[in-house]
Amino acid sequence: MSPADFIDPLQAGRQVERIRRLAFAGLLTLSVLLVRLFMIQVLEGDQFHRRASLQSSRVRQVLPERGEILDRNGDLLVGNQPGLRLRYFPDRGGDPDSTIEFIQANVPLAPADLPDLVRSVARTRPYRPETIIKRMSRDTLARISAHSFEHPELEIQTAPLRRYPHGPLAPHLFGYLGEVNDGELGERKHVGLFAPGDVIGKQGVELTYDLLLFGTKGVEKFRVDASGRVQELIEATPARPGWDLRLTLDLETQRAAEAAMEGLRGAVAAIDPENGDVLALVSHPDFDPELFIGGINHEDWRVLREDPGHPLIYRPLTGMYPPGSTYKPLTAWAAMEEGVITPDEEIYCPGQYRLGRRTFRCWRAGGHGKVDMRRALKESCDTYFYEVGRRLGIERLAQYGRLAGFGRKTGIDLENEKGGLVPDPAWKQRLGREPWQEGETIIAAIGQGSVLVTPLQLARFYAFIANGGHLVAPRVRAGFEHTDRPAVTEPVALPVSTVVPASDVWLDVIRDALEAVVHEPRGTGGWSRIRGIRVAGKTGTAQVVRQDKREEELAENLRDHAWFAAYAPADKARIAVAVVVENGGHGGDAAAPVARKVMEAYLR
Amino acid sequence: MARESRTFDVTEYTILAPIVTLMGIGLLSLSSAVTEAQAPVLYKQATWFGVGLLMILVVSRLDYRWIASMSLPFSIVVCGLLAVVLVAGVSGGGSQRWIGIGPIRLQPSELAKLAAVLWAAHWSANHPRVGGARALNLIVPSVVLFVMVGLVMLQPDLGTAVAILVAGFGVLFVAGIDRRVLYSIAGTGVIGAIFSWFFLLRPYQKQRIVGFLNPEADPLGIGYHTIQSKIAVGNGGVWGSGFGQGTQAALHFLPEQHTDFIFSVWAEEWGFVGGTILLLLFAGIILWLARAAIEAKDTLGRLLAAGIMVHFILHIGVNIAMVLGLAPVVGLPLPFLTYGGSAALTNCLAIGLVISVRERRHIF
Repeated sequence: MSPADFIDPLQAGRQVERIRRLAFAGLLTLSVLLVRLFMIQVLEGDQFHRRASLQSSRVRQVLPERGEILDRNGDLLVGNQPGLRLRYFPDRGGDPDSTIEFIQANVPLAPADLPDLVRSVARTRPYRPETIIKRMSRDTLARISAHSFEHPELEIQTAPLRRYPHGPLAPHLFGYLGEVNDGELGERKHVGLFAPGDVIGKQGVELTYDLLLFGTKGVEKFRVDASGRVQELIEATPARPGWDLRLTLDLETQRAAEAAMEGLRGAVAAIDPENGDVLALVSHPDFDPELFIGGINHEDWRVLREDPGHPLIYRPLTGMYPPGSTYKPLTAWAAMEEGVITPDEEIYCPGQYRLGRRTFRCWRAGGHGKVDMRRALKESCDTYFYEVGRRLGIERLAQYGRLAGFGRKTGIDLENEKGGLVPDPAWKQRLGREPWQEGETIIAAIGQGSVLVTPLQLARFYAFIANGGHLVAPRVRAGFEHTDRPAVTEPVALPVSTVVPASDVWLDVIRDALEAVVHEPRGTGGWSRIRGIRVAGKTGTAQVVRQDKREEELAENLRDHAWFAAYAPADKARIAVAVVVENGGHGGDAAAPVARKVMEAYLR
Repeated sequence: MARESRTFDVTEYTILAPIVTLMGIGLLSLSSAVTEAQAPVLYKQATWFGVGLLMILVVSRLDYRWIASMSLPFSIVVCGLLAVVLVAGVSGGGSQRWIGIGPIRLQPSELAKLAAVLWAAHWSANHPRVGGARALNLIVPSVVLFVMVGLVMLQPDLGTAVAILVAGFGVLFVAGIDRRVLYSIAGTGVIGAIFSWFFLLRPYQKQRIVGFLNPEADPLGIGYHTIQSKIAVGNGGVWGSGFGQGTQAALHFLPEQHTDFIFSVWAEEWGFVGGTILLLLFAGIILWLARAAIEAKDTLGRLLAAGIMVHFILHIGVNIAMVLGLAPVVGLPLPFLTYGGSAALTNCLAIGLVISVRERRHIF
């Protein structure tokens, strides 16, 4: 017996009471835990069950092979080649500095900004993998995979790379590939399945038809443990390769057009007058698409951007030039439709034209004498069209210009097309400039002043003359096909050509005159003649009126732009072409030979 | 006294049934949680349980009065071991808690919990005060407790330090403390908590408290333990995923799953049904301890059983509350389930001691 048992008899009772309270508190605690257990396991069990299965499985995407790009005859234009890239997963641990050190030791020519990239990715968005080397050699692969165990944060992945068997051919048209950026991810949210690191089309048809070329991703679902190690494959859906895109482009015509433009600045647009199929689209100077495989480096990009020849601009669609005399057939057509002149009426050309107090020159200082419409077109008499333009007035001239497809985009299936400009008083008013002058009307009638067209629009206008008033919708897509699947020719509705109410009688007059331009003496387009084939065309010389020109460029860019627009064969046209040679001088000398080579290549 | 040998009552050993069941649950859950390479852990724990059961039988045959009379030397030995830990201990998990004796790793801070109960009960039984102890009376028993607590804090092991303090002062509280003293202790506790937040707690301890208050704020950081154990428990549902089928623990999403989070392994594999059974077993042990305390024939026996009851309530309550996300992550092992020889041994010694109290309750 201890002293406590004798000193205070009441003490024992009080102690027992406290023990009861403590035991009660203990049982109460257990009850609370039981309720909590019930909440987690029974009431919220499903929710936790989902989270459990979510974190014990990993889904890996299997990338499909990208579709190839073919020409109208099935020749390969853009193919694929196997590529390797190195991706960095910051959340898999590892010190960024040791990662950087390892890469610099094992990857020759690692980009200079690599340390900054790795550190910033590790700091700012550690849960998102980042491609740090876009194109790797087999040697590098061997060296990195030998150490993959020590660097789980680095993963080598196959990367889709393009192959260009014809070198720098139509690089703007094809476009290039690049990793999807945040903005593009947002735009593609509704399509689903796109994830950071995916390689998508950035320009040209690679962009327009990206979803079809891309294919369908496959999915592999794995069970993994907490450190991400794969335990087993649960399910797999194979990837479906993308559709091959067959273009309307004709490889031989495109090649001939590019060869003809060698050393020149300018553009060629050639289409099939019957259906708007684009046969060739050339923009010179251009660039080597090889530079873009696996991503262009900063230095190459800077050089391209700062090149005074602007090789990145896609001139046939985005280059806007005054059409010069190639616009005269439009003025002629409008005037005959409106009845302000007949083909036979003669107008006297003394070499200049007086309007009020101003004098406008004809390009031929001595004058053409008396000219009718056929001769006015054939010899490109300015005075004749000044008078016709004055009779028409600007409203009607602009209205017919819009009917012929000028002043708005053609709707070709490529991005960033420009619409050109058909000036009228309303346009000047919108810009807040001084009222329209009649002088501007007669300048517009010969395709100068504020009129701006793209080479593609002009080619379509000449197709319009040739096919009797059908304003075709240009397109580069012929269809989609796949070796395992039946070909799809029209998966997406194509814009159809618009039929313009043009009288064949008047168009015949123009067609006859355009043939004379090429084949008759004193015609301005003799340089485009092809042996055995009748060609119809029109020269043009556009004064340089670039609004964004800088002072230092002015001197070398002062020469006129040379135009030639044509179609052939003249009786049943199969090709319509527009050529512009920047600062090429007179259209007949600089542009007509190019057009001839393009038409010849296609028709032979 | 002559009847003592004849008072040996086999029925008191029925408490071994729930304890052996809990040990079995512990081993089952452990086998689910460890990988094949870690299988030795299983045999080690089974061996510790065997030793522990043997200790129950041995201690229960000894007179608790004799054991209590040895409490001061026992406490001094424990303090010595705690000092050895600090000087030559084995590190793990950011603190120094073990001493290696050949293949055995001993964690003296576990023994300190029992030493605290023994010492407090022994002292209280020998220094009764009418109306309860006053502040001055508490100085002597507190010194021994605070030496142990201080040594454990130096490791640092906050959870164990709190457990020693609660068990020791739990005994003093049951023995009787003047009300005013009780209130001032509570007040000191609050001030101490604020003081330790700013001056004593290590950053990882503060993080755990922050993580407990808002585990989803940083799911892969501070709150990881809590979220993962809740996912595991919830994944079990009503009937559980079945033995060996717990994906969360087996795939090692669960942290420290064979130490402090073993309950979540059990709850995932055996569900709400298994969890309830486990809680009922613990409730049975608490009730048995309470009855032992209430029916003890003397103050010493009463205080010993009461202190051990407080010890069990604290460990069961805090550990499971932690696993279910109701308490911060503190390193208090779940009795008979958490892997660890020292804890198993300490709990078995404690149970043996209470059986000894039960056996001798009719002797006068």
